[in-house]
Amino acid sequence: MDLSHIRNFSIIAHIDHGKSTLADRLIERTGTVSSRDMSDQLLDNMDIEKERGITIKLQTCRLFYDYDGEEYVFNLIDTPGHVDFTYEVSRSLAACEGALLVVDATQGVEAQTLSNVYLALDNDLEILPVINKIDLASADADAVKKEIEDIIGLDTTGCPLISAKEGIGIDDVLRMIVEKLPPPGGDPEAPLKALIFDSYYDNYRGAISMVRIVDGCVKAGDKIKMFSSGKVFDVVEVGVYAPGMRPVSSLSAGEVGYIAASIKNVADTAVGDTITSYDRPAAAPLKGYKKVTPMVFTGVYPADGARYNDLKEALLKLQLNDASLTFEAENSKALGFGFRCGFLGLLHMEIIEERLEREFDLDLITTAPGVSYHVTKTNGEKLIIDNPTNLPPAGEIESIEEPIVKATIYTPPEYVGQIMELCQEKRGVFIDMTYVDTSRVQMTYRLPLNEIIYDFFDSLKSRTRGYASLDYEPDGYEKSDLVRLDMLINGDMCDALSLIVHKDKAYARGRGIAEKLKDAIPRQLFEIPIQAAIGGKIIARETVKALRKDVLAKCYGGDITRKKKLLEKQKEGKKRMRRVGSVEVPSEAFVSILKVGDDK
Amino acid sequence: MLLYIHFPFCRSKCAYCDFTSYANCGEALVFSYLTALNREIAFASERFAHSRIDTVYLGGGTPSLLSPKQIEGLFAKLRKSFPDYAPVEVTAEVNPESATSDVLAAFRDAGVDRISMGVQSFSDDNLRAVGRIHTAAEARAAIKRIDQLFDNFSLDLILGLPYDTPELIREEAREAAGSAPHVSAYELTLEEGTALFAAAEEGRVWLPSDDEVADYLDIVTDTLEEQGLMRYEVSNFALPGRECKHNSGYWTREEYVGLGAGAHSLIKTDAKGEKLPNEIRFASPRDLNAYIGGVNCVSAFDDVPRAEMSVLSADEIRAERIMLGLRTRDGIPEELLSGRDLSRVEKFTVREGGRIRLTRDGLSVMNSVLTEII
Repeated sequence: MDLSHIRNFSIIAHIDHGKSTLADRLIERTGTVSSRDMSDQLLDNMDIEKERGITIKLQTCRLFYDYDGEEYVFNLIDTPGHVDFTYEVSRSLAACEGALLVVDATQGVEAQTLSNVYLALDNDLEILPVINKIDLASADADAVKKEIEDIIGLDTTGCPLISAKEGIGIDDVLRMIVEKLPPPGGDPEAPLKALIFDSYYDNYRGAISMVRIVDGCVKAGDKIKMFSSGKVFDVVEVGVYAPGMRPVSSLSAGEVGYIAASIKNVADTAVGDTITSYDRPAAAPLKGYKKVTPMVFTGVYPADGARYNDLKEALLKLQLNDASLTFEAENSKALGFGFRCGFLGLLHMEIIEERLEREFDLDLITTAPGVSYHVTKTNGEKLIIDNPTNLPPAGEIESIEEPIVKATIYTPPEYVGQIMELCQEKRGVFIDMTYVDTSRVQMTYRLPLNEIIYDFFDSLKSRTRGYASLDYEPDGYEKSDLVRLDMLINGDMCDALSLIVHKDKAYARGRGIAEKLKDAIPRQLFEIPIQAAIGGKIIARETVKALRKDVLAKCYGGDITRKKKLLEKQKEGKKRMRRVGSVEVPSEAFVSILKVGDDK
Repeated sequence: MLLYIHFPFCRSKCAYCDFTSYANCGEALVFSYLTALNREIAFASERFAHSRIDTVYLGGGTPSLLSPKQIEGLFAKLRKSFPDYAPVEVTAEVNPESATSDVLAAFRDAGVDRISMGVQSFSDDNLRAVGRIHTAAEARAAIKRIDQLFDNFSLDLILGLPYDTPELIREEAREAAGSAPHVSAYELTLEEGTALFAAAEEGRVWLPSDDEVADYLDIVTDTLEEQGLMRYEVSNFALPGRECKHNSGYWTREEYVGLGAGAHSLIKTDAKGEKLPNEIRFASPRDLNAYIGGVNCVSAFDDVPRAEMSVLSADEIRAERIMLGLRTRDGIPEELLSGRDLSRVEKFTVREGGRIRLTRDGLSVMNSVLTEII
């Protein structure tokens, strides 16, 4: 194919600025899918994506566009719209030459707008700003243009003013994709180099690699090799997305498509990895590959212990499609058999939990999310701890390091004070603050990840009435004064409630959790002390008073059935409870502690 | 065998009530109902020709809404249908506003020897708040009328009404015990679908907390027992010898037949008086037309349509014996619980003479104790 007639591009935007809607319009306007068959936001496949208005899994689509009588091929590579998936975004951007930067005309530049722009610039992309939602009364295109020029430094002369929702300005965008975005380069004769920018599991074809061919050419029957693992596979099929899978005879330099090679496991088609030819391998892989590691960990248990195997099956199935999800079996005294799962971030965690519940009809109990700590023991042994119960006794610990992130916050100036206060409470270290313009401030902090995953985002939103936006990236590990906080119910430690927290936060957290548990645990036949402890030291205590009275339905006129039903109901309720020592603890209690706020 | 007869009509529906009762029904409907009831009595007399009726209980609804003539007719029907009709206790439920001297006299003349009156509270505020249509003064006057005609009677109180206070509860218990040899003190239960439930949901009425009601139950128990009315069941108190035989039969699982809409039965024998292979519980339809129509279109007791029917397994019978027996002062034989782990409920139980019963605190948390041991 003539490279000069190919355009590979992504659409990048802050969440809710209209990325998916624009993608839909482009697909619709180029006739790739007739408007009759359009379901809204075509590229968002999963129900959860449509409901939340975010993209989780990447999608790509090949569009044909007629420009001055010549046919152009557009490969639109959708990117996930969340900070958890930054690495995936960067890899899909690496597969492109250009990006459409969608900015909401009513909102302006936001934290993710910028983080995405930086990612695009890192990958040397040509960026075409597009101002969306101009149909709204509160749209101020000129102000937003100025912001884009001042903050990002992009020229906005002639940039398309559109309403993706109303279909306004879509033709301008299509035309400018041809005019402004560069065609791909690459040498079709050189040894094969294909960048995997996503992979997923297909029930019939196995793990599918979504690739950008950088150099060379690949077709069915070729032997390919994964650079990172050296594993070799036979190509069964190559094709493009239009938007469904459509086989083609070959893919060559500059093209975007998929490779099916009877790969059993998505882990063997890692995002960022380079595929080369087995017979004529390239000398070096493409740059930028890294192994994605989970950042957030939580224990996931079936509410009904008998469904452990169903949960395992479900996790395996999800993992087929999502190599960044990790899990290993663990056993909790309170919750029974379950899994310690690792996620890229909080959203990733929520999505997986939601999919487990929805698509696999599981009722889950999850423990408080935590991060992965680097522990050095006094005997020099080094451990990585992602489950608080595995933390060695304080006496054996030389030091603990916790993961730190660099957080960028965009906010109107009037909330700067509150945000500084919040960041300070969350053990943040101030790095920088700049006035982007009169209406917006960029603040940069280094913050412990375990504070971010606790309630940082909610606090930020509530303290700034939703105006501030947040983005963060990992920024190494640092030594910190961390302790394990244990909860004792009627004197018995409940492993599922243990947390690793900063020493200065332990009292407040312990008190908060004890209070929550007191409300969540129903009164029982005896008094139940609830204690928070560090090591052997009790730092907070609440008491669930003994139950004094049940509903004593009378057996009126010999109606025993009513009484029996009441008892059965009570027994049913009991079945759903977890036993901690001699205390019945409802599943909700484990969830309720996740919602302990420092500031009530 | 115990015989229960249900009269499901009331002048007005109380806010907490979810029993089978209907207000504002015309005379014609009452007439059809009584006709159907008579028919069912006849069926029952054939079906249970081999059984003796030990007790009769006419409940409601408001049986005191029956006219003296209707009362006479109803009991005449019983006497005629069951040739050796000679119960040892015949109770009729009444409400203060309709327990006139005429009605009470008619009950007495028909063989009723025990009256149970729903006083519920001696506070007019409480009575108004839950839609009772009598005052405390009217209740007191009715007690006097009953006392003149009946040696044995009972007063119902409800604990946990909106205007209850510890003082009021103590006073009510004292007054009830001073007036009657038997008192039932039920705790108010909010049943879904009732007016009170809706009012409480919407915050239009404030009800005492569970802990307060637990206090009230203690106060009532202390006060009644001080005056010699001993607690012989979770909600029932009586001078020695004045315990209700009919209700006690429910708790010891005697065979009983319930006639009328929404009435419950526990049947143990067949038409020949032989033991059935399985005991059966059932109820009649609560809906009046369903009941009347159902009775009128069949010609035998066993063909009357029933609403809830369950054939009891041995395990269920055992569970029922535990559940019902532990409501009472007599408790249950220890062997009924053999093999069960009682360690968690030990402090709520008393063992004596091979029997096990619940302590006062145990009675208050009976459900929780039962779910531990059944």
